[in-house]
Amino acid sequence: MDLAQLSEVFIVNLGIQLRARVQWRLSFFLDMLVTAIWMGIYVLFWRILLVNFLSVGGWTFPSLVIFVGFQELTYGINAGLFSGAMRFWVYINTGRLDVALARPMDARLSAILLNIDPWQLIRSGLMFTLFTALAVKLGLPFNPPAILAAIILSFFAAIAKTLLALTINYIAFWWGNVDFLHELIGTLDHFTGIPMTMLPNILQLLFTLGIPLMFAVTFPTLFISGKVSWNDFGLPLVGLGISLSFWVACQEYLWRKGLKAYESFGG
Amino acid sequence: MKVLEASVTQATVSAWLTTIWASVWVYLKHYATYLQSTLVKFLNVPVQVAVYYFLWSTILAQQTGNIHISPAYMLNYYILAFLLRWLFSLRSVTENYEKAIYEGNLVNYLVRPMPFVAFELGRVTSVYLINLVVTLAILMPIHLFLVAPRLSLLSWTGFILMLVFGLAMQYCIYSLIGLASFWVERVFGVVYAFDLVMLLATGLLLPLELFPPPLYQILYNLPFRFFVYTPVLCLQGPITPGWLIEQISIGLVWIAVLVILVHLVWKKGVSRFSGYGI
Repeated sequence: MDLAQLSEVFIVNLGIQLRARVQWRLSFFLDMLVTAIWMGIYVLFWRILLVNFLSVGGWTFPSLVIFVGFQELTYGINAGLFSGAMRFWVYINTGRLDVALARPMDARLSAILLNIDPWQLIRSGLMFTLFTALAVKLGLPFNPPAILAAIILSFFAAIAKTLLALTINYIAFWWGNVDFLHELIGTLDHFTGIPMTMLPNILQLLFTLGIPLMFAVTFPTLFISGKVSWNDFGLPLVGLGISLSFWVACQEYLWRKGLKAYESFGG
Repeated sequence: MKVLEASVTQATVSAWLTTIWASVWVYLKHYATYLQSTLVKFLNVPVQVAVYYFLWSTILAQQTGNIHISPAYMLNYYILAFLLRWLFSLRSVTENYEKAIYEGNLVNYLVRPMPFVAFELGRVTSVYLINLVVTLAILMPIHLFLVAPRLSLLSWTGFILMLVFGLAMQYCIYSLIGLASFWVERVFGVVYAFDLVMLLATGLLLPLELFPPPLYQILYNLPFRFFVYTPVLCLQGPITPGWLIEQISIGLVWIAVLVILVHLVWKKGVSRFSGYGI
């Protein structure tokens, strides 16, 4: 399947999803409201800490506002674009992989493309824009190229997480039901709940070179806040590149091994 | 009529006890069957506690504000808070009410002398009992290690009492949200928003004493603090009998108010319910 056909599948799916959302306007507003409440609660959380303790690891209030914005954006990217990879084991375990393998498209890619929910991305994008505007109003420097670079970085961190998820999901080729592994990947999200500069050094290293979650929320926020300059960008990018390459290789290796071990539904 | 009411009450209690007994075994089998899943889900608690510990270690290392708290206090607080939240989350109550009303299964309960509430309460109580045993098995050793000098019988009595009060209130509140399905069909969004507000209102994210005084006063007078903050407070340090009596009084008033509300809303809802065959 070439790029044109891939794009066609993506656009058709996008149209279906958007038409479905337009049908439920009340849900649209409720969804936005719930997201705003979630983000507002965390902004209040950081505000209360700053009022009581004056300093939260050197992070200013505007930086923490944009930090919450990035948390939502990362969630939107993962849930909107890559949710198909998170439960790929279901394809393997239920035999749906047979159908996917018989099609002229990579089974992994089709699982991801067919589960794209653009609404998650649109909602998160809107909320991120709103919180960026709020942070700028509170004194954060407005630097569009830096914001764009930070978003791209966050996107690549999401790809790395997707590759990790796929790698772990392939264990289903041997173990069958691995729903608990899905939960295990979910526990990683707790680490992005606070600025990762507050974690011990060993964990910071793990989340930079091993599972590059540092680039999902913390590093982009530091970059937009001006605490990391363009000159300091190179070394972390090398780290992200190494990590991405590692997970690409890992998932490809396990995918091929898994396909050899795959006996299809019912053997 | 009185004879009928008495027989219905007797059937309710009997159904409740039977459901508890049956559900305890069902849930124990469920946990045993899906042991890996249960253990990994439980992994959320230490991970969340660790993340908050790192956050507070950073904040308390600087201690530039007026409030002085020890890292051990905060560690202890979050262990208790996340355990309570994880083990006693009652969102399923709302989901079951919504499902029964929206899909019409409630009819099956209305034609029997055993109210739906008895079955649901029985199911929840059985989960409580299992979770309470797990909680105490985890908490006892942790507390012996972290706050051993401050442990007292009064603290443990207060903890268990506040836990029961909190669970009773949670059950009523989640039931009330679920009962709204009589009018608005789907309430999943409401319960999700409610859970988010509860992150702050119950004291899960932050001890309530850190809130600005006006907000603290509002939250102190609402029932939500009994879900997490008040039970945790009982094990955070020495408590006085006077304080405990005050909490029991406030708790009993809230439980009475909520039970009456559930009863009224249930009656009002059932009177307009139109299921299959009604």
